[in-house]
Amino acid sequence: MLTNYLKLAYKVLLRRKFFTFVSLFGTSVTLLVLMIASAMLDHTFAPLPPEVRLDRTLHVTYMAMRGEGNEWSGSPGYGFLDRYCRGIPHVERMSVFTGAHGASSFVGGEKVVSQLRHTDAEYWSILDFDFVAGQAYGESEVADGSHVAVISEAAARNLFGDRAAVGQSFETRGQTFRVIGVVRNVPRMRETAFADIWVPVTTLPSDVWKTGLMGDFNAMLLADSPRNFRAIRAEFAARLPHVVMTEPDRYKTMSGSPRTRLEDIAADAIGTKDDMPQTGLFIGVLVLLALLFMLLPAINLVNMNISRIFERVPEIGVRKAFGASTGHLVGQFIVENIVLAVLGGAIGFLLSLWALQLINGSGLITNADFQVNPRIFLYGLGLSVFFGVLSGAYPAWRMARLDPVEALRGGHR
Amino acid sequence: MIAHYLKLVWNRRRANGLILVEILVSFLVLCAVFGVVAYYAMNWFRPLGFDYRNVWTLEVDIPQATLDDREQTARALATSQRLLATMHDDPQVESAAPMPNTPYSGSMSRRGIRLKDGSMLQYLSSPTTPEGRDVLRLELVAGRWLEPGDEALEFTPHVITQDMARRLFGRENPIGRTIDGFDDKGQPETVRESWQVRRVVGVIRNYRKSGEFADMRYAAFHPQSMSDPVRSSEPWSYVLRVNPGTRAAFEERLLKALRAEAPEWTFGLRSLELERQRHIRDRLMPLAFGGTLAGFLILMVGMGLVGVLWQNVTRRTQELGLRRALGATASAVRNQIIGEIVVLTVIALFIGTVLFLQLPLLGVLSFVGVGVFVSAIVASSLVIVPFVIACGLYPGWLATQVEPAQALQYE
Amino acid sequence: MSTLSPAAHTAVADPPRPNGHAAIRLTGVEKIHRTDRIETVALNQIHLAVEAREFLSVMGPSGSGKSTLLNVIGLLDRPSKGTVEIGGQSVGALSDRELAAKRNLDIGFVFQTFHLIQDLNVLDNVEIPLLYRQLPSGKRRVMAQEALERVGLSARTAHFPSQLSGGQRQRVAIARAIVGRPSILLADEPTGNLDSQMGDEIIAILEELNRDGTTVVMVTHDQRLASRTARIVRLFDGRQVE
Repeated sequence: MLTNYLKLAYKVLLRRKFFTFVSLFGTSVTLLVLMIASAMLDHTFAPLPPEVRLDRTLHVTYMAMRGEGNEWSGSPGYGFLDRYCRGIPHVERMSVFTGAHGASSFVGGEKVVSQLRHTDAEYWSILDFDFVAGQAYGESEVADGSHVAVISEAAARNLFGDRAAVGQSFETRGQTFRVIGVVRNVPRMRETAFADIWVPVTTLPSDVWKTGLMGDFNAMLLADSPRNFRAIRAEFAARLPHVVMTEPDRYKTMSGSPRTRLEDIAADAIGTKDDMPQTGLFIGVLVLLALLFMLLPAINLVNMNISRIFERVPEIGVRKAFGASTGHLVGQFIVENIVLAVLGGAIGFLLSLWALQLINGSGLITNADFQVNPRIFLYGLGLSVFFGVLSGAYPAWRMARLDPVEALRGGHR
Repeated sequence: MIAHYLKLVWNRRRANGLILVEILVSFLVLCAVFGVVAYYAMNWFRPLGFDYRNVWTLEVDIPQATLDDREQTARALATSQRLLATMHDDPQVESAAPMPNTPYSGSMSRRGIRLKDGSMLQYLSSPTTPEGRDVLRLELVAGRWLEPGDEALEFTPHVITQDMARRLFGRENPIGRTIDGFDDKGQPETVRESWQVRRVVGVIRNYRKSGEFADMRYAAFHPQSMSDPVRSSEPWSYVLRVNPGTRAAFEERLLKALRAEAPEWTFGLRSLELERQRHIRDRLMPLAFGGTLAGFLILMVGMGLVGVLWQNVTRRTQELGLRRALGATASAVRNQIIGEIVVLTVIALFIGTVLFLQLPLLGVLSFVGVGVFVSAIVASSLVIVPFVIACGLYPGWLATQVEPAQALQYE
Repeated sequence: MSTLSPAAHTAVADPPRPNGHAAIRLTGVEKIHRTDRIETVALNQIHLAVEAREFLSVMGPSGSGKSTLLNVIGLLDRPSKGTVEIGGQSVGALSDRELAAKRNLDIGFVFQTFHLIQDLNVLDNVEIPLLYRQLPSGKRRVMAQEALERVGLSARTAHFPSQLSGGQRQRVAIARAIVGRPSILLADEPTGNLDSQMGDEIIAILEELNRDGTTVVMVTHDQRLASRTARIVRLFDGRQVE
């Protein structure tokens, strides 16, 4: 029986090539965009190496000092993080590190710009880098302020060409560093891990950064479990009133909170309210956009189905006159819809593979390594099949219930 | 005739409902895309206010414990002065000046004051030296620019943008007026020192530090003292104008010289032209992506529309044959098919316009002028209507192929 | 007069023409349908002259070419051979646009299945021919009202075809056919879908229109109706017979 349906579906779809094409186009493009969007979302929020513990990490990325109509907001300073954020219960490990900034080196007269980040030793235990050579620096190197560096494969190639990088020295920002480890390139989307060169925080060219309340630092708080995020945030909030302000005339209070990656992005995208990220609103906006985006293909599909059904009214009449039941006819139509959905899905899958390769290779997002997420693909496929069936079932059922005589006459409007 | 199409479309509204929704949503999608384009385009054509070519920015990282330490500030200022001298010494550097709000960078140093009417005015507050104007080639349109000695006057001279002058003083002459803030009770704010009074001495056309796509209007320049820690703090960034054709060797050389003067400080030198390119690319990329997506969706809608209209024509062969019998020419029948869908589209456009205009009416996105919304609506309409007509051409042609004799022969 | 094949058919003599041009004149008209393999002769050497104000019936078994004849007269079909004159004007050389205009001005159609547009009300249906004459809407409405009055349906202008009986629908169709005051009315089995009582009403209307000056050519298989008309033309296999 099923093979009958399939054979018939194949013939029918081939007969009306234009409708078939439009349906396939719509489904595959929708799935393509869905794949790309979800790949990007996945890579932004999911715990992917080196950020393997992202789901139980909170970040302190944004604080604000306020007073007397003055405001200074931005990343916190080492002084604040070191003095007031250590020893929070449920935090297994904590790392303090700078943002990644462009640093120039001059190799053979040419300027090479690498993203340079200063970190403590704990950084390497919270993030899992893939070392292709050498190793990271540890507590003792940080304590000594040794001028050692871990560099990415890309930086190694830029600075040293084909030579082995470990053991070599290079100069950047007026300082000389010796390479002790090389790691695989990190995608730009791994916010805390991304860089080309990592050096100990103690190699910053003076000691005075240690005391600032605001500065260029972030902190990672590795919690023992995400369930304790609330406790951690509560403890953090409790400590804020005790911060000794360095310029009490200008700034009286400090505010801010440790955030998950999602909250960070929400805050970046749509701003904060009372210094708190509006995660709910952010997700709401994304969902709304997704729904709107899917609305068009959905309506299109329903339209197509109604048209196809109308077109086949005389055929339905004849078939019924020869004894086909309503179930048969609806089933036939649904099988066709499923075939279209699956085919469209397959095309969409191939297209998205190709498109993601394109994006990865284009260098638009540094070191991007987007993959198609099989889980999302199956959801998308399931959704399109479900919707194909839904959008076809009702019109099919209405039409199949037609009196054969009426149907032979051309159907009622 | 249009009334006739309208009657047909309206009486068939149940069948046409979905198509209407499709066109409506497509219209709104296009409005969103064109809205962004219009916003960017409108801003692009406003005067930038400065010249970015052959300009470099120097970011300085000064390690310090506190900001309120006058001694530290004085020392930092002295170092900064030596840095400026070093910059001037470099053969490739034409002019250099400290400047906190460097173009195309994310950092902003702003001040806010409450005006008498209660509204807030936020403006870029940029202390700089008289040379700042030469580096950025700012356009003076009234009054004078900053002059040496300004940092020691008994008030703080300010050079403000035209839009800021208009906002503060309306049509009155801003030169000589003071910029006064009020508290939330409408009382003028008290000023602690007399030199803190902000008096306007000049007006420049504009300083759109955030680049061509942003709508930044309010900026003020005032004197940077390189010696008085009370009046000024040390600069954290500079802008330099270099000779055209300067190359990488200049960077290495200058950075070495700067580090020699201040070994504990960190320096970052960036070409403004490259920053601008990166900035433009960052802004245009999501727009391009969104536009491409919208394009695909509209294409899909168009194909669906052709299919639906095609099917519509085949269903109505008798009606079309009848009309030919009653005296319609082939073109009249084609025009009817196209006319009906255009009428439907216009209805959709009307609803869409009402919906879209809710955005400015409700005050959402208040920083965007109404002109942007109107342009978006007009542009989208100018795209959708011809597109719909194009979709109707093939079905319209099919309608003309209907043989009245056969169509009316109904066995 | 033209020739017919010798066998079983004889020529029909036309009644004498009193004055002026015939309303309709067909001379040597043939209509041949060609497909890849088959040639079907729908009309074979038709000579027909219909005077103004005549009421003519066309009869014949199915497949005899009655509808084709009506289509040719109604300018919906071009003959493969022969000439057609309407109101003295030869239509052979007219372009499609000119033919459409002539249909609009001079010819009205009534069909067996009414062919009303379901989604328009009675008044909108009736004024369609006037749309193609590009008359302003006020004038259209007035003329449509008058036409509906003539068929006795002025009370139903806002109704939709689905709300009317078969007889009423045909009357609307007739109103539509005459709204532009054409000189010729072509009716293809106008009572075919109606019961005998409604059919009689319709015939009565046609007769009245004919009395008021319209030339009527009616295709019918109902001998009873045909015998009420002044003249009957019979077709068999595309030829005129008697």
